[in-house]
Amino acid sequence: MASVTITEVMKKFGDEPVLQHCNLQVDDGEFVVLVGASGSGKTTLLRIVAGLEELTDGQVMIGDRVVNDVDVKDRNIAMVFQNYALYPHMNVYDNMAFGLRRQHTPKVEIAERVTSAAKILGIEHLVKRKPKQLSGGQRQRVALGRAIVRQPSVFLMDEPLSNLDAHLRAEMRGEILKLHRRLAATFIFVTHDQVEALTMGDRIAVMSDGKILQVGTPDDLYQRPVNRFVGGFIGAPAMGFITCDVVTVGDGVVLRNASAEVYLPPERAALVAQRATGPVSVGLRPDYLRLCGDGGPAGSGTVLRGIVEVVEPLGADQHVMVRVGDASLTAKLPRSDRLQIDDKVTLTVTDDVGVHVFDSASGDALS
Amino acid sequence: MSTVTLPGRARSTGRNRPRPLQAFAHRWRTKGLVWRGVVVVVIVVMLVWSLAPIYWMIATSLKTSAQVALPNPTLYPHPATVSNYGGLFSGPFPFGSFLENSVVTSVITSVITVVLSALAGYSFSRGRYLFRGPLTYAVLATQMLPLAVLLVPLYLEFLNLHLLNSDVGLVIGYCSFSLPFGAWLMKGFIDGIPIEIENAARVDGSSQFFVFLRVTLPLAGAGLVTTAVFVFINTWNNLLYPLTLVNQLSKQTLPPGLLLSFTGQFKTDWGGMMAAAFLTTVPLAVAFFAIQRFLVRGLTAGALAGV
Repeated sequence: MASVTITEVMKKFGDEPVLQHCNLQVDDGEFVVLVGASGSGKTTLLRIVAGLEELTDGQVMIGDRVVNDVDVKDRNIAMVFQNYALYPHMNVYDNMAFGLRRQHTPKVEIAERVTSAAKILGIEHLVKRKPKQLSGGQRQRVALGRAIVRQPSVFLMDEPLSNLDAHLRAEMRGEILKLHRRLAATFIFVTHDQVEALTMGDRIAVMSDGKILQVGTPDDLYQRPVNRFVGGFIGAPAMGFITCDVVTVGDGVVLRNASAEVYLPPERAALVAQRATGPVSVGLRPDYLRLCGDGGPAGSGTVLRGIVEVVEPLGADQHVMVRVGDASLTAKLPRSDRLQIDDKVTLTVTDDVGVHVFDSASGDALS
Repeated sequence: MSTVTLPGRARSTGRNRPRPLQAFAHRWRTKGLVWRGVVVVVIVVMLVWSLAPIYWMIATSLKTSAQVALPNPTLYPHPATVSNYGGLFSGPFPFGSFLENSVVTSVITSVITVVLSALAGYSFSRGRYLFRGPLTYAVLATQMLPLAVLLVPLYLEFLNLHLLNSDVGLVIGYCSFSLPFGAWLMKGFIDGIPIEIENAARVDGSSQFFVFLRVTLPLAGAGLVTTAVFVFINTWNNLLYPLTLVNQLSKQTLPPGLLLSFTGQFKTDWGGMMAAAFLTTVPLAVAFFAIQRFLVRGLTAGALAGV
């Protein structure tokens, strides 16, 4: 097993920069998830680590070795591709044994390792079949099996679950995590699905426009996003944003627009007042929004007045989209709040950890 | 040169591949009698149109010279004779040599073309080097030239290199037009193979050439067969090159051999020519039917499907 160190990696396709100043340290045995929207550069970064893409500038190290000029076949990595990329003309056994044969592993050992991996993944009864005779989930397991038999330094996974249905995806998430625990290996996992990222990663790197915006644990990213993009990307349902002015009222500060008044604890409010250079973007986590009772807003005093646009029942809860001024906020409310479309509602915030303030222009966090 | 649709990048799985025969069978069951009648008539007309020359070739090959020369020729030989076939091997013309030269030059050209086209197609499809695009299109541009344009320079070169009247010369001549065609055909097939499969093999510890041999080539099998068949047919049927580059009758291939042997200033031996033409067609037909499954899969693979 080995660590992976990505230092100031840049990549251009022609004149188009696709990766800019990417830095990431993946420790030995760590499970790091690269997450971002399509086109954010996460797959390109993974392919650079694999050696399938050349970098324009920077350095990639696997363990103590700089691998910039090391051919892909000599990097001792394993990769699971989005579309599985099994060899269609070979059966499952040969697919899994392919890499070992390239390493001139003795036949007996190949048989042992393939059988053992097939057993772990529950595909020992499929080893004689060709890929076209397998279901999506089975193919996925074969692709994983092909990776683990080689006992590589690093596992690279490029959206390996994106072609599976929701149920199977959840099951395979668990399988991969179990595999990671069993092998104690270094994993770099690419996904555009933030639920996958939050549930699987020891740490997550959020990417956008070819840059790594923030690296941290799932809790770090959820509770302390460094900018508006990370705040909006991490968490489901997504954080909603309203634009407010920073208004000084007596000794305190309130974030206000025509439909909303948002109060922060004094020390955070002071920080916002000190850093804000104009209107601010206030991010509100849906999990912390509640309807105001008859007695008015509780606790913080925050009020958000709006009209219900959409109600999505989800069993015990419901996602309610509320138009507040010209912004749309989603609130995760108990199903017992009987709401209809076009109802006028007033929301409040149950805990100020659900409120994040960002600079309107740069998007950087202010508190 | 035959024209074929070069396969593109489109990919699909076997599951969503359209099945024209099944679709036709479904329509056949659901349509009315008039529609079925029209379809039958159209098919019969097309069959007669396509098969009539072949029937006429076989019928004429079984007729005597007197029957062939009748002002109102009969539809079928009466009485039938196989003397025209016997005459091919016992007559004054070296039909056996024609056949041998055709087989040797066509097979060798096909083999050389398939090997070099696979390498060139892989390079055009997967290579990362300067001027790959212009080079690829430059190869295609050679296909824009009529075959006849190449003949005079080829003749002069072969004259200097003493390659006239030789199988080697003919094979080189055939390769001049079959290689660009084959390279483009193979490029199309290789384009249709998802590159992730090759990347997976690279990550699994394989060199680029090993990936080409063990992963790409087996997956491009239909392309190899298609290329081989088209090149074989084109070289087997080629008249112009051997007619120009070979001037000894015993060194000729079948098409010019037949032309020179059975047509004369005062008389054409139609019976002998048709017998020879029939025997010439048989290997092609047998080869075509034997591999048509690959051929059809190969040609549709590019348009619709990937691996």
